[in-house]
Amino acid sequence: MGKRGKGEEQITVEIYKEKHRSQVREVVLGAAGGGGGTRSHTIKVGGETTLPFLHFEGEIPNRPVIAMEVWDMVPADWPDNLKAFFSDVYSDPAAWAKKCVDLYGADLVALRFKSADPEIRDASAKDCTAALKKVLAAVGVPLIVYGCGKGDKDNEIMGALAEAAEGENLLLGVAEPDNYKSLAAAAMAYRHSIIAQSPIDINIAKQLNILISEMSSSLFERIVIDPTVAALGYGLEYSYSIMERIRFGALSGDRILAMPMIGNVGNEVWSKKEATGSADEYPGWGEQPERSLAWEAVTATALLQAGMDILVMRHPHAAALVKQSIDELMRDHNP
Amino acid sequence: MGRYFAVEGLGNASGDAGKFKEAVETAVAKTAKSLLLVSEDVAAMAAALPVAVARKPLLYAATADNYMQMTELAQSSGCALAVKAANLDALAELVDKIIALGYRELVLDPVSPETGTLIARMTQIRRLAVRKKFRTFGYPTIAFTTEHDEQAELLQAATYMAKYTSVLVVRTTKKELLLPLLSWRANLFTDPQKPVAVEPGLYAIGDAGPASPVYCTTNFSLTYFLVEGEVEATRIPSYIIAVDTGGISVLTAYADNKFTAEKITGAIKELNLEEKVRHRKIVIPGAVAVLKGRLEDESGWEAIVGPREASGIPKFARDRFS
Repeated sequence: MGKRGKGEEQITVEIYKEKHRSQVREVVLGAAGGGGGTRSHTIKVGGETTLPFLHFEGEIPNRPVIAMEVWDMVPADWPDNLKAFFSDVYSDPAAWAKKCVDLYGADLVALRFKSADPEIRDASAKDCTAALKKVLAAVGVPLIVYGCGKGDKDNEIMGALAEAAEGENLLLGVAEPDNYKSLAAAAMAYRHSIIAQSPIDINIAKQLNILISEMSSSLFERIVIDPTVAALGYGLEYSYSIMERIRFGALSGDRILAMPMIGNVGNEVWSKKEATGSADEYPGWGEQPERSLAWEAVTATALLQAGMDILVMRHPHAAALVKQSIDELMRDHNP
Repeated sequence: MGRYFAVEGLGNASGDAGKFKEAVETAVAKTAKSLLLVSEDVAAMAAALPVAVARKPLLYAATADNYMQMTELAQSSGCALAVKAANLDALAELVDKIIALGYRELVLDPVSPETGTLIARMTQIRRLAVRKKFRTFGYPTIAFTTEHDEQAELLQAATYMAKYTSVLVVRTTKKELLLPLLSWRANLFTDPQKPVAVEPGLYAIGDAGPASPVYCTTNFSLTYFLVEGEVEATRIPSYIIAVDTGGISVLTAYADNKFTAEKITGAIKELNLEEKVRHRKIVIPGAVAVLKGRLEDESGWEAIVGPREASGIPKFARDRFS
C-alpha cells in the first residue's frame, strides 16, 4: 500500500507479499555413489515456498531444469530441422544422450523406449535394459525413463528397466490412474522416483497421488506430477490454469498436491503443424525452422510461469534459449 | 498482428524534433494502426503530435523531468500518457503528481532491463491495484523488451505477457516469432472454464467434392481444430461436420446425450450432405464406435469407425481413402 513518508514528496510503496503457508516438496533425482547409484551428481527439484520466480516473497531453492529427449530408435516423423542435430547419433541412444549432455548442456536425459511399442518394433525387455545400461554408462546425469506409451507393454518392460538400474533413482514414467500399480511397485522395489500423470485434471492428480501413497508412503515422497501439458495454441491455457491451481494448493498446505511438476513439452509441440509445416504450406507463418523452435521455447516459457520444474524438450536451441531465460529469472530480483 | 505501431524518437539531441516528426508522418501514411509515439523530448513530441493526433496516439513517456509539459500535451490532445520511472516508489510519486495536475489517462512503465525485476514489479502493480485498491497503480501497464537477440526477446516478451503487461513493445518483425507470441496471447486470454466452440456446420478441407470423405466430430473448438489439423495433414480433400454439442468434447457430449445418432443424422440432413457427396459414408470418432449401429439405422449411411485419437487420422485416411 502506498504511504506518504515523512518527506513531503517521498512515497514508499509497501511491497505486497502473499503469506503462503506451505511449500512444494523437494524431490531428488538420480543417485550418486554415496546414495547407491552411479550418477556423477544428483539434481533437486521443487522446494518452492512461492509462485514462480517471485524471489521477493519466498524461497526458490532449486532452479527449473531441462531434460532432453533421447529415443532408443530413429524417430521417423521428426522434421528435418530437428533431426539434423542428432543424425550422427540416431542409431545409438548412448551417443545421443552424451551429445545432449556434453554438447547441448542438458540437465537430465529423458530416455523414451519407443521401440518397445508392439506396433513399431516390439523390442523386448532385454533389448531395452541393454540400451538403458549403455546410456547409464555414457552419461553421469540423472535419467528420466519413459516406456512406449502402451500400458500392457510398458508393464512388461518397466519392471525390468527398474531392476536393471536398481538404486539409480531414475524418474520412471508414467503412472496413470488406471495403470499405476506395477510401475509403483517397480519404483518401490528398486528405489526409483515416479511420474504421476493426470489428464489436465486436479482431482485426478490428487486421486492418483493418494493411490500411490496407499502403496508406499516413502514413494509418495518421490512423486513428480505430470499435469499433462498442451502445446501452445492447443489448449495451453488449460494446462496453465490447472498447474496454477495445483501450485496454489501446494502453497496453501495441501500435501497431496505438493509435488514438483514435469511437462512433456517436446512431445506435444513437435506433432503440431505450427512446428512441422513448411512456409510453402503456410505462407503467413514465416520460416519453419525458426518457427518450430520458437513454438517449443514459448510453450516451455509459458509453463515455467505456471510452476513447471522439469521441462522435457527436443530442440537443442530451444532448450538453450529456455535455459538462458531461466538463468535470468533465477537471479534474486526484487521489485 | 499487433494493435500498435511504435515510432521511436532518436533521443534528445537538438535537431531531432524534425526527424521525429518526419518519422511520425511516414508511419501515419503507411499504417492504419494506433501509434505509440516514443520520445521524452517535449519539443519533439509537441512537433510530431499534430501529425498523428487524429489517431489518439499513446504518448511515451512522462518522466520526473518532463512530466509537467508532457501532461499538458496529453491533456490538451486527449491522448493517453505513459508514465515511466526507474522504481516503484518513483513511479507512484510521479503518477500522483500527474493526477494532481488533473490527468488520469495513464499507462504505467515500471521500466527495468531485467526480466525478473520487471515481472516482480508488474506483479506488485497488479496486486496492489487489485488486492489493496491502491489507486495510484490502478492503470494498464506497458513494457519494452530489452533483449537484443530476437529469440531471447521472444521469450522475454512471452514472460511479460504472462505477467500482466497490457501493452507490449517488441522489435522483431519476423512472422515466425510473432506467430507464437500472438498465439500465446490468444491462449492466455481464453477462459479455460468456458468451452470454446466453433460454428456448427459443414467445413470443406481443401478442394472437397462429391467423392471426398466425410468426417464428423463435435463443435468443441479444441476437438474440432485437432481433427481439422489432422484431416489437413492427410492431404485428401475432405468434409468435416462439426455437430452442435454446445461446444463440448466427444466423450462428454456422448455421455450427456448431445452427440447421438439422431444428432448426427439431423446434421447430415440439415447440411444437405446427400447432395454434396455421391457416397453415403461417414467417419465417426473411434471413442464413440458404439454409435455405429444406431447411426446406420437412423441415417441409412455407412458409419466408418475412425481412430480414437485425432492423431491417428492420417494413417487411417491413408489406409482407407488413398
